Amino acid sequence: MQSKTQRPVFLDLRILTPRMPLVAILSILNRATGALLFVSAPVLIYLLGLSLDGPAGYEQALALLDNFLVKLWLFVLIWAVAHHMLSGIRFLLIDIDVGVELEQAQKSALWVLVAGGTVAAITLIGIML
Amino acid sequence: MSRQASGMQAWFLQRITGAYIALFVLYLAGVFLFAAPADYAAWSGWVASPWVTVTGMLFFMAVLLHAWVGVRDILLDYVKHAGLRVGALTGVALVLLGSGIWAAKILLLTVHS
Repeated sequence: MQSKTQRPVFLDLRILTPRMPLVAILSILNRATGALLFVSAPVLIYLLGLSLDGPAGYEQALALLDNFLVKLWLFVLIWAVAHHMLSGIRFLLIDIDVGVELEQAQKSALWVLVAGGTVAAITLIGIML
Repeated sequence: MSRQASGMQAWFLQRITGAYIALFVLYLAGVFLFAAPADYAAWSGWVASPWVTVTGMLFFMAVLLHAWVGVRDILLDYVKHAGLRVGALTGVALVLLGSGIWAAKILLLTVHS
């Protein structure tokens, strides 16, 4: 037992595993939300064009938005925008050496997740009302 | 394009465009929360105003560049096969350029009703 405890530990996974995921999840979510927004962009531009194509097109666009699945998609997009934006600001701050330490980075990661979720929740209430 | 937007330049471009997009999205959110156009005349009039047309065009240009750098980074990380990679990058570039031209057409053709 004595010899085991004296082995040098290069990467202590017991410390890292509870900490790494949140920071890693933020990085993956930034890409996932960005990719989702890229894929959705043509549909959004279509809706913009329709809404500006005379009063009839405007009514048509409004009618398209008045659908549960479309609203759900818009809700996910608004969450994606809020999350991607907050996450981007976080990366920007880390770039200028603010919050680089693991503990701070983990805290800000949690903060971004919660704040993005809060914006989404408020929007959900707004959409449903 | 990859030559013009790689390394430090792409990194810088991503941050500048990101900052502009964030400001414009906040402006949009403010307008829709507090002064949402109520009908077609108000909506088209708002879009057709010089301020919105110009800042909106800059917004679409920023989104186009931001999406190009971002999606390219993702594809370079996950698509290793050279042919697939070139094909995917070409597809993304076409979708982005097409979307940009489409958006510009919408903004420029909208007039006060």
